[in-house]
Amino acid sequence: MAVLDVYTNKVEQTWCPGCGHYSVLRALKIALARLEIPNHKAAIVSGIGCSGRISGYTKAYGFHGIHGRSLPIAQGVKLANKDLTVIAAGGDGDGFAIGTGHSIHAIKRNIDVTYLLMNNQVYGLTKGHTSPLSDLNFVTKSTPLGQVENPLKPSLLALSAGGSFIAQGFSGNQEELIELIIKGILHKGFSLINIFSPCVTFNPNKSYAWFRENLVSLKEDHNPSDYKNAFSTFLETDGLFTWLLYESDQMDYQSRLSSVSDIPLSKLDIKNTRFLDGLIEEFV
Amino acid sequence: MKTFTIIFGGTQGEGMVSAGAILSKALSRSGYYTYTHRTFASRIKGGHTRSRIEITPFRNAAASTLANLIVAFDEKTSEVDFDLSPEGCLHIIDNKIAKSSQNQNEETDRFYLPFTETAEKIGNKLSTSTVALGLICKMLALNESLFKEILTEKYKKKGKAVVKQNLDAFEEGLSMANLPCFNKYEHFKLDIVPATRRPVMTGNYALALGALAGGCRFVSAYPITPASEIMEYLSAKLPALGGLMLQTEDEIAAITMAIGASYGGVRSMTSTSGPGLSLMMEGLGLSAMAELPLVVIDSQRVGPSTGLPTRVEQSDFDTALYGGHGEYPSIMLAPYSIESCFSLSRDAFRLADEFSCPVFVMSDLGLGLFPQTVDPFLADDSSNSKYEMSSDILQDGPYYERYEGNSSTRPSPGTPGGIHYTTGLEHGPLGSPNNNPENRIRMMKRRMEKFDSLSESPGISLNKEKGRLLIISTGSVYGVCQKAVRDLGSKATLGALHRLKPFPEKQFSILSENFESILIVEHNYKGQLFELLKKYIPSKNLAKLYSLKKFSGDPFTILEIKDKAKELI
Repeated sequence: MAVLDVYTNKVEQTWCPGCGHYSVLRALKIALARLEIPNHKAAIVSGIGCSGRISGYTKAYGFHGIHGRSLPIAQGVKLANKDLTVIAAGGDGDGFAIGTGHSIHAIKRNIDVTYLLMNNQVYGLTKGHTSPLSDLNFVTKSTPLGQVENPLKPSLLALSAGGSFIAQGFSGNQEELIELIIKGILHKGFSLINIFSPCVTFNPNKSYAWFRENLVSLKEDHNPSDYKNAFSTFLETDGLFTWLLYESDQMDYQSRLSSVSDIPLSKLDIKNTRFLDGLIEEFV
Repeated sequence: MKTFTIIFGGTQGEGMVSAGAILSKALSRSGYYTYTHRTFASRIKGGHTRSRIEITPFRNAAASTLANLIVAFDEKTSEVDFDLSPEGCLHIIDNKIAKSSQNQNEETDRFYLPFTETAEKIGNKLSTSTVALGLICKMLALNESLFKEILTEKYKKKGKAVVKQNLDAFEEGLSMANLPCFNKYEHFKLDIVPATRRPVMTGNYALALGALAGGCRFVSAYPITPASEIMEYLSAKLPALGGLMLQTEDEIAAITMAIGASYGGVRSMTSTSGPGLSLMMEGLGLSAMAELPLVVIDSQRVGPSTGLPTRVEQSDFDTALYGGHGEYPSIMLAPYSIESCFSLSRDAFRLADEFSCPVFVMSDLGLGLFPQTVDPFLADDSSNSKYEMSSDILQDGPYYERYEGNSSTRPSPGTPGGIHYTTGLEHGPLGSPNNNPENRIRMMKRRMEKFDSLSESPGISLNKEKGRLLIISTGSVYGVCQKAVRDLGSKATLGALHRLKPFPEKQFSILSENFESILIVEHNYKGQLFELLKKYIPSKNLAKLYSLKKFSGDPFTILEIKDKAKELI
């Protein structure tokens, strides 16, 4: 386990025993370690909610932002310093309720950030409220008669928003999850990894056993470069699959900007202001 | 030389703004000062728009109400009831809008000329306003070749044909000035002034230039009137400096992305107006709590809600001062001239960096959008050396105590040994969440008292420290007060409130002793600045404070300020 030590800190972890998020945390740390990314070169930006704690439980540059805004913050970090490995993480409420607009735009913008959607289909930290990803008829404190809205489907939304890397993982399948996170980090562009991460306290129906029974892995025979097939695969499995659904090699945001220099913005020399004389002259 | 004012009006989208810009550029290259007040509608094509260009031999930052020459391309311009100059105001009206019964009328100074017809003959209807420029150039006895030079510069990217059409249109206009009916307007010729080339600029461009001077290399923003020019200009100029402007999906993303970039180690900002500022409240709290530098430029317009998006108001002060939940520190600067747009925007980045907190630059529509001739300001070279982002100064250790020492020591990600935690939760020295009451008290004090030293430095600019009446204003109101004070003479002193927070308590307290009365002039209903000053004035001097407010959407007139001031002196 020495490989994990670099990313391990002594912060007390407050997730419930059995929470799927422990597995996401471990998978992330192992993925970073296997890629030999020094911890000072990794920035982990999270939102608010149970999932938001992940940045505090990892010894790297951690940024625990505000509810729903992990993606704009993470994109800002990457734009400031493209030499960093930037991970964004948040729950399904964070990313697909309050932050839906940011998620769709982050997907379409394609900045090189790996986004771990820690999806337990429920609001845990508020002690059990429905999420936009919750199933129809789901009974919670805010839907005592059952949820009457249809659930959103993040991977399908990402496909139609032009996502360049769309994958699904499962907290109950560590090795596969590690592989997916490694692929996501290596993918140059925005990577969405929608992780089924059971909430044992507030969503017991969606248990590890339920997911084991219902999820299929596409690992063996699926071509992730076929856009049309990605849609049909999603529809055929009703979204209940793991592995990489779709990956395209379109250029990431910063590579598309021909103007971006090799120097990260954070390292630019700002002392010299002589260029201003020329700019002011343009107004004469 | 007397002041001469031209009103140039027509249908939006038909070259009115360009013609005004060409005219003020030509004048500013010839040694005159100009101030352009623009009236426009929140639409792109159609709707009435007009530019009131005031020409003076001295620096001028406000419109007066008199008009000497009105050039009308639509009925509205020809019908608007302007205050006409006592020497007579000439109306020159495009005859395409003439009703059949209307003819040249020397008695009422109204002449109908074939501007559109001439432009159509040349083959470019868009050169209609250029014909009028030729006429104006000749009547005012301005340098023709200067106009031709500017027309060529302006239209060269549209191709040689367009340049030629405009030069031809200009020539046609020049010859129109020879019509006998214009003989009696010899007095329109402007006095000759020393030829000096000066820039014409709006506050928005000066704010953007200031940002570049302050080392800003990342901007995330969402388009909004009247702030869009700031992001537009920076998106054009940042790439050459290695930087970047990104247009976000909304203002919430704009502010949080700027915070992320600031955390990433680059001086960052966002620009907006009132509706955007409302959306940014949570981001401001995060910037303050996590002690990350951030500059927010707010170009104020009429609120609440969508209000009057193209009109003048200064009603966001309270939002910036008191908005958001919880208690957090911020710095609030307020430019009052084009020059201070530049210098305060530049300084905002240094202050944000030094104090690791949000810094507001509170501009307004009048300052942001109305072009004026300015004296060239100097870019100083040494400005960005003091508070550098720390990059590799740190020794290796388990965690870096980011929230223990100086708040400007901020290792950004990528710095070896600088690992710490950043959160909007209350936190301890390493940044980790901490709900210990003693820690809470320590951290609150750390944040809330970090710039006590700054409140000692002056936040009101004035040229006299003692006198009868002190008139305090900021933003575009200052230019109007400046003109009023020029007329009022030595009994009135002009003051510019350029830092609202931390408020210059000590300075203001002394001023309240040294002046017999203090008048606060501002564009809002509640008297937001008045209430702020009331809070800080020693109670024995409270009776000295007077308030003048306007919230119609129109700028103050010089007369309104003079009338109020006269009551007090």
